[in-house]
Amino acid sequence: MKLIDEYIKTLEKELKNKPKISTEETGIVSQVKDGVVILEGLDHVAYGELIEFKKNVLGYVIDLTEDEVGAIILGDYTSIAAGDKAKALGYTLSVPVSEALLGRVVDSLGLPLDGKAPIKSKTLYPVEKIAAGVVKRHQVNVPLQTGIKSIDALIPIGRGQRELIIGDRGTGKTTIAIDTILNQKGQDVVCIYCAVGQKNSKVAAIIELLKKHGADKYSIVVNAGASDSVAMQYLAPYTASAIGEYFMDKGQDVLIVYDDLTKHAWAYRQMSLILRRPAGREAYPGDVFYLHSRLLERACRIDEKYGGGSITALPIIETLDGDLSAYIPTNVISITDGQISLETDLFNSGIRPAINIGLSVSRVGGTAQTKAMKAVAGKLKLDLAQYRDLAAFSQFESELDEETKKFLNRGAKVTQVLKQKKNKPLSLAEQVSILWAASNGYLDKLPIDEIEKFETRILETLKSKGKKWLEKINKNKIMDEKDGKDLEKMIKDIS
Amino acid sequence: MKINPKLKKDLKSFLLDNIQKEQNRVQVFSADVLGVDEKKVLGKKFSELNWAEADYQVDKSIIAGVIIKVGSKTIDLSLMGSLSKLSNTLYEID
Repeated sequence: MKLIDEYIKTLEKELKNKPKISTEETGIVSQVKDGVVILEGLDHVAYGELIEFKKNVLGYVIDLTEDEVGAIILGDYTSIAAGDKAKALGYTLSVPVSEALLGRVVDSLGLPLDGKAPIKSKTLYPVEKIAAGVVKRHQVNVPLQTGIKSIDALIPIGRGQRELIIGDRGTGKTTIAIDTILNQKGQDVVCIYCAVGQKNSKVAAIIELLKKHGADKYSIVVNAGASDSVAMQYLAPYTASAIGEYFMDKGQDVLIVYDDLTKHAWAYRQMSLILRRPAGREAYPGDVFYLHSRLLERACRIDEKYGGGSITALPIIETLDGDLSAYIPTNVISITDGQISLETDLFNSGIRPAINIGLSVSRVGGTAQTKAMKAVAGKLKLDLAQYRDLAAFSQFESELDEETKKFLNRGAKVTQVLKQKKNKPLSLAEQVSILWAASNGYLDKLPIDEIEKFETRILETLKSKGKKWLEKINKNKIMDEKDGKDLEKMIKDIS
Repeated sequence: MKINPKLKKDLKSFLLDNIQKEQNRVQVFSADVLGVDEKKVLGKKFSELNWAEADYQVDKSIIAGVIIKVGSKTIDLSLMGSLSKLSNTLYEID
């Protein structure tokens, strides 16, 4: 009886006190559109808040009008019907982040797509976040080696830079990005490949390739395929950025590839049109510029005082007929710190990577280029520029003087030596040795089709005789006079 | 057609008042018809709400307890709500 008395006492106490009651913000689905629902009620919901439908389906508020709420559905929207109840959860969209993400394939919500165990994590990072301010940033001056000769020599990329890769379909945009990821082996860089609206077969092939080269250990793939809802495609780059920020906050360097932002803009256009937002040029909504600028602004290099770390972004944009002046390409060109322009004509004439040197620039990478590379690349740039000028001019002249012929010959050889097979990134010292040979005229007397053989011979000799030289250059990133003489000796032996 | 601005203002404030009233209207869902005593208890517990024009409805699906709605705010004190919360928690533990 005592026990019952006690129960009654506590019950009485509880009844006397004000009950602890949580109120919920609720609403009712009034319209279901393609991936977007319109709700009534939810008078006090915030922009960017998550809402829950039945069966644990989540929505993300992206439209607040006078008397309606628009939300995109994260997941299967076919189970939602008009009249369903919805509940606001009171927090914004976040993804679980931890070291366990390395080597995994996840979707826009951070859920595994590779059929392995769920990702264990105690930390959540918000998907939408304001980028680091001016005070926290540091100048970009540490190189990010892509392993591609033409890029590292002529369009160098630094850690914390945003370098756009732009070109028509089938010009090797993804190949450049993937080669860069492959080259980060042992460089202590976390790589994130974010696929937006890509064919799932292509993404599967890329995952296979990363595994084959042992790059999966330091890589994460965020995939929102062509068959996923536009909401997932819209969120994928921001999720990749949030994951990158977790590693950056730990002081690590991160490389994120957004493949590609054209499809991301398409996904956002579709959402905006369904939400009846006013359409502008090419039917994109007014904030399509902000869509990409707020994403790419999150790439930065943090000052050592605030923990260091960086995010380098390689966004990819697909053009039609090489039209760089279309709406989305011009927008992203203006946002980024330079672009690598790829061309179909070059690709078809066998120059691969098909980089148009004239149209490609790196606005901040120059300060990040290593001294060893600067020493050989400066002359190379001049050779190529003179070649381009003369090549156009010399087509009309039948008889050329010796000096012009020399320039033309040098240019042709340099162009040849900048070719590189895919998935074969080269280390800094290897690149320097080959480019040194080119700019010092060791290729001038060789016929064009012998250059590739000569290049492999240099690399083989360096691997057998010049191991110390390779290690020294890769470590110090400087080439002094003695190193130059050592290299000269080795190359003279071959030729 | 030009509308008299004063008329427009009056109409707007009238409509806003109506909306305000509608938003503060209390709706109570219960599994069975509530007795006078039960209504009194509710009124005491949630004294800050406006019970004068409360709207009482019966909804068998909530099994027991009450759900109180004021505008878009919901206070779920039903057995059904507790059970679904429990099932969600179990699902997350899994």
